[in-house]
Amino acid sequence: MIQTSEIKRVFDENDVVLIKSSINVYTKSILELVNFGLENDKVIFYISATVPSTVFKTIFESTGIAHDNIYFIDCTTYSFDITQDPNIIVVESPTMLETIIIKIMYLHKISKQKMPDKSPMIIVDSANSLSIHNDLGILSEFFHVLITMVRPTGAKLAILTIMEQLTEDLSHTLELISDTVLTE
Amino acid sequence: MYNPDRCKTGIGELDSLLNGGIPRGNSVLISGSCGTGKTTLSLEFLIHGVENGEKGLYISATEISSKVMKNMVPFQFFREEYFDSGKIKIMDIPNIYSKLNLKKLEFEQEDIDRLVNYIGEIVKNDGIKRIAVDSLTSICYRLRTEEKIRDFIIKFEEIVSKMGGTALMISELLPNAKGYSQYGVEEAVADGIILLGNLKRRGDLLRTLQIIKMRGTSHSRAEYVMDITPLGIMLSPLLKGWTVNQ
Repeated sequence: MIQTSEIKRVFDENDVVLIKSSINVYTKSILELVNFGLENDKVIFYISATVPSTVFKTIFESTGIAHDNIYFIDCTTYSFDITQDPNIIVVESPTMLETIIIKIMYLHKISKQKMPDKSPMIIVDSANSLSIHNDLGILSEFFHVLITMVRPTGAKLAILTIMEQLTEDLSHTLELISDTVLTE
Repeated sequence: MYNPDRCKTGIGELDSLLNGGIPRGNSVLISGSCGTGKTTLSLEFLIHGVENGEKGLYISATEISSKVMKNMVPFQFFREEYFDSGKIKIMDIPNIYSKLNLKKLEFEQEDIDRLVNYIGEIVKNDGIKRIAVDSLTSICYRLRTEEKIRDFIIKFEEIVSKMGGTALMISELLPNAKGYSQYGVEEAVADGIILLGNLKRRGDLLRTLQIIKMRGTSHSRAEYVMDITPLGIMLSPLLKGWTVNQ
């Protein structure tokens, strides 16, 4: 599991961090990351492309994580289960990568209005899942555009990957666009 | 930074693509098929104008204005009071035709002059700086010939330009249309063209925006993905990587 002290160290020095986590401790690593963000006065934009946002909301609730400052961009429910939850935005498909970028910028604008002192921490869960739906060309372009657009906002970006399922090509591309790699 | 020569649309990314906004005095065609966001863009433009002290006029020819207003309520930028107070004047085209006693299915030259003069009077008397004609195509149905359409647009543009105003003229397109307007002449006469589209990609339907021409400024020519959010229109660069393996 990734330790909070390690997370703090890499995010103190970098904006874009590629996190390679083992499948056995994947959820625990996410919880550490979210906790770190909230404790460091961040507003969290959680892009859920692996598990529906409602599942993570339940996990956060059961582990005592206050989720008022966590906004989800949910790409897994395909509008079959459109929610009225103001903290969840549904993007109809994980192939609508530009829409994900716009939703992040939208969340940045509204969070700036509500919580001007908090800067965003964006968690992409996960690059593996996005790669199932998108080829490497568009995926690397997506991350490049996303990083270019969010860097001026002072945002921190965590790109999560499941180590055991990471192909060499995807790993290489993600390493190129990230400032550093944190391996569990 | 405020630039008196530019009319900011209020859509941040679009103003950046236009190098600060639409050059004042321009009449710009907003072309697109149904569901591409033409009306939303026009109303956001007018509402933002009021926030900058510029009165607006919305000429509705395709939908009754009350219905248009109702559709805008969910947007955070919508301000009903701007319409109630007359800072944005809404006029339904059938009411204008009826007031001017324009009953013919095809307008004569004198009808065009009366219509343009009427709009001109309102613009002058109310100190209007921003106009949205939704849609120009509907008005063109009554003009029919290229000569009359050209004449109407040129006279309308003169009014806008003389008042130091800026106008958006909505051009309705069929989904598979090749040009930017139904009669062809509109796109040649307009000072600018902003094309709104629907891009079908692997089963997804993405809204797009592209500036085709804009007199008086350098501008982007790239295609952008557009989303209509509760805060209004937002843009992202269109990703092209998807073509690699196709």
